[in-house]
Amino acid sequence: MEIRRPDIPKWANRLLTWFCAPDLLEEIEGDLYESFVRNTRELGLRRARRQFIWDVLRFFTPATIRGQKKRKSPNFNMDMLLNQFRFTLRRFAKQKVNTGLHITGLTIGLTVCLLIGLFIRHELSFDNYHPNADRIYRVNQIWEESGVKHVYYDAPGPLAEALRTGIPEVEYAAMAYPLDQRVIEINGRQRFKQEHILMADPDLLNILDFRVLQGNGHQALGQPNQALLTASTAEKFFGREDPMGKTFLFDNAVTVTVAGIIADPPKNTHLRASMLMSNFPHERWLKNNMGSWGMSYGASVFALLKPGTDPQSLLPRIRAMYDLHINEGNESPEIGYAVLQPLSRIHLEPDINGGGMWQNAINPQWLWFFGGIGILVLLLACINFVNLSTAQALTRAREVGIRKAIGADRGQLVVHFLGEAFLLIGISSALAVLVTGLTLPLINRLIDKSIDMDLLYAPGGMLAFLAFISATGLLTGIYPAWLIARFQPAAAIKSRFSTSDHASGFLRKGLVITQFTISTALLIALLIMSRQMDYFHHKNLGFDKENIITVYMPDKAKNGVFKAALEAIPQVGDVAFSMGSPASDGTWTTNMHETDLNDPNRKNVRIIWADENYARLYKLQLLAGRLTEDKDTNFISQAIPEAERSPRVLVNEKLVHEMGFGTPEQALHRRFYTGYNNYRVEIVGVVKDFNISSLHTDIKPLMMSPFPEHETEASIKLKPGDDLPAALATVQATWEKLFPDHLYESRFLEQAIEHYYESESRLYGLFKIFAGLAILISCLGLWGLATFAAVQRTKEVGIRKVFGATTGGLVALLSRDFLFLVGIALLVAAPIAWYGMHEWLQNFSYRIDIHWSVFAIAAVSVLAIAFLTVGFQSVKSALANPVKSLRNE
Amino acid sequence: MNDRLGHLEEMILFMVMLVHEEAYGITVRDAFTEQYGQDISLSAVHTVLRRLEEKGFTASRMGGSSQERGGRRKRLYQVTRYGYKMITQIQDERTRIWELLPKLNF
Repeated sequence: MEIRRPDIPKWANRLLTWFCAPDLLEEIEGDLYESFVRNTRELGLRRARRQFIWDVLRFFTPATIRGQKKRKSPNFNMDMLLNQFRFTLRRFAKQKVNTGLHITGLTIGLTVCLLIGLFIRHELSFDNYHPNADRIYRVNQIWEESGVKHVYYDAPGPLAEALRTGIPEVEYAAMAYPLDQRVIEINGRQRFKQEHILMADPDLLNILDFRVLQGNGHQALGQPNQALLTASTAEKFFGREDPMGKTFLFDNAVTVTVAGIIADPPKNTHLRASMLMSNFPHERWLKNNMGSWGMSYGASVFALLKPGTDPQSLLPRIRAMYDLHINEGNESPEIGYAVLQPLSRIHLEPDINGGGMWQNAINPQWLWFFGGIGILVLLLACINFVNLSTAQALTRAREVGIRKAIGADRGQLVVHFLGEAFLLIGISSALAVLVTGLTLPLINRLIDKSIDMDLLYAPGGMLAFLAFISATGLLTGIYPAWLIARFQPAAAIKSRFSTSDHASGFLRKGLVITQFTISTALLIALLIMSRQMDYFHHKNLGFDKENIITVYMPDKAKNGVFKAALEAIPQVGDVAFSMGSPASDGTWTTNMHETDLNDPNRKNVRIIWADENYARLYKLQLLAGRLTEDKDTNFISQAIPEAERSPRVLVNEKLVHEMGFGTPEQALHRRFYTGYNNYRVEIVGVVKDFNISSLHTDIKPLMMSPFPEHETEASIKLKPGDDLPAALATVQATWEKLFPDHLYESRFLEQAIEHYYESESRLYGLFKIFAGLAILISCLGLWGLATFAAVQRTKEVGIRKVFGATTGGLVALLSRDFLFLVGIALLVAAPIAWYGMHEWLQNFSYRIDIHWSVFAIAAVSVLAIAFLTVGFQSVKSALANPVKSLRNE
Repeated sequence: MNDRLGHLEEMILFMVMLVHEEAYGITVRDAFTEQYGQDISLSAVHTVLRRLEEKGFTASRMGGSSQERGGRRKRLYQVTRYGYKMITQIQDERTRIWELLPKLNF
């Protein structure tokens, strides 16, 4: 039954409204109406009216008049919330520029954070997916001599078996031998190079999570020449045909049978195999040496420990194995032992030979660095929000006044304004997710990774993101909300406000300084990094690297034929054979000492076996003596007694220095022992130092000598000219005619050198983008503030103009304050950036000095950018017609 | 603040617990009339309900509105854990003292 208003005694109701406390009115009226309706039904209208009047009078008590003091006013009201929401949206629509600035800044900031968050999560997730990841270890081998440790990720062949049988805490131990590219031939027609072939013991399937989809994995890996292909490799090899039982020719040597299919490993593993092959290498030297404790050839040992085992407790027992099999009876001062590296650390410890053969480990410092950048960029975006909101606070004074006058309390207003902040951040977050999804493929290409958005959509990722944006919203929104809600209603409505609130103005200035300090420091860092990268690419390495290609020689016996054929090509300038170009890391390392190789003071020496053309082709600079000639290799001749075989060698300055041979001239004809067959070599020439490796490392002592047995690479110097592609094609044709069974592959030396700095260049490229965005965000904020200030001072500018101020003077007036702040930021940023970059440069053996011009460039660009940002708005206001600005009341 | 439970307060609190989900002015008054057989004014019920809340024995929230209430929402009350403890204590005490009384024959 519906309440009929006219039936209710109007005067009584009005009386109630008059004396009843407002916070109680609703519930009391409601109860009275409900009671009235029932009384009307049960007792009739007359008695119901009388009862209503009586009830109202009974309510005339102090308790009703006073109202409830302690109770909070009921905040939760759907209509009010909807109204506020609509109001907020209307305000956003009205202040398009301001809202746009907020959203753009926050979206950029959050996108950068999201991208960096995904990047870090991706890097940290490596090899964590294996079910027993916390119990899996790689056995890394250490060779220690006079306190200097060299860590290797490979271990001697018999170690896996020894661990399995000798240490009860080891549940499984298995070898995994990652191969470099190998030639695969299918059906005698299709030939290509296949990457990421992993030779593995059967037990590896019990340790790492390779899911066998088809076939008996264990059985297959236990027999020679069997393979488990990943699903995608199977498709590559055999298309849609059933791969089981099919065969292919591996390495031009053995026929391998497909015995099973495994799932493709995920992207975040350092062993992303394209196939598993049974661990029976066909190479004779390897077959003969696999069982030797003294031989490590690139295969790693993985061990799964029983639950609850302390890995440290195993080390002495493994050390005992090394002592028994290797160290005892070894006269050399070098000592071998092993450590256990947790599986999930492999990707994060680049010191250990770069993590593995296939996947470069990342230095966790990069993760910290990018994490810091992410936080800084977001901080800049948050500062924008705080600055623009507090600056705009005055324009909302009237709104606050009216809201307060109609009964909103401060808590409610804070919630309202905080809600607005959250709405903006919510919109920005949604946009950020969208932008991240769109840009992730580009970022992946830039840094050569395969980061997945799925990391965000995973429950943990979403939760972390929500927590993160909530924290951001709270940190960002609370101060402006509190500031705005503080306004006194009377003053607010009368709009009697000074044009700048002192406290918040001070804060704003501080925040602008902070913002530009961060941006400038990032810019300086960017400039210094780019100079260091340029230095890497352009430093004179001490040898010629232009127009030189290197080609692998499968058969040394054909070197001479190949050379003769090449010399017939007019574009070929020179040809040399060696075991590796100066930038190939293809050197051997052994020991040297003048008298006794087992002396603890022996030194390390690098060896490059290279023919007589090598020094000439690479334009090495001879300081004393002569270059080596092919006939200097008399040490191989069996006619000479071994003790008298004395190769003549070319050495670098560093070697002369380390051996204490005095000047290059004095070093000539000095002799010393080397660890290679204990040969005693004689110096016939000294060349100037050149970098045989990346500039991260120092120049090491080096000796060079001809040794055809090991000269497996041809260096070909081409004459510069337009017909380079034709020359390359001719070289390839010549090579292919000589080696029809092999696949041709050539590299430009310059590319090989670039490769040393590739991962750094890529990450640096990423940093460049983020630093640029940071500066952009700062400028957005500055622009917003300048716009606002210009609007505030419209009238002032108008009056000044009427009194004859020049445009230039007005622009200066409007820009001065901001440029002053940016100037302070420059002074603060310079020393911080100098210190940070000075520390960073210490990572490199070859580094640039920090030049003052870097700071000058940074200062000029930041000031110029800031001036353009502020000046645009200033000029606009200064040019405005004063009549308009003054008339507009 | 006096946190003892007065007699009327005790009676009303019982009714709040009795009506349970739908305890507001009208339902509490109806229950009171039905259970104790005596009339009480709506005003008195409201005052006591508010006092109970001030003392922390009940908590309230605003409920839905309806046409017969002219769109006014009702304030729904619920006993708090503290209120429940209090009333149990009173009940126990009374039982204990009853046991101590000499069994009188009338």
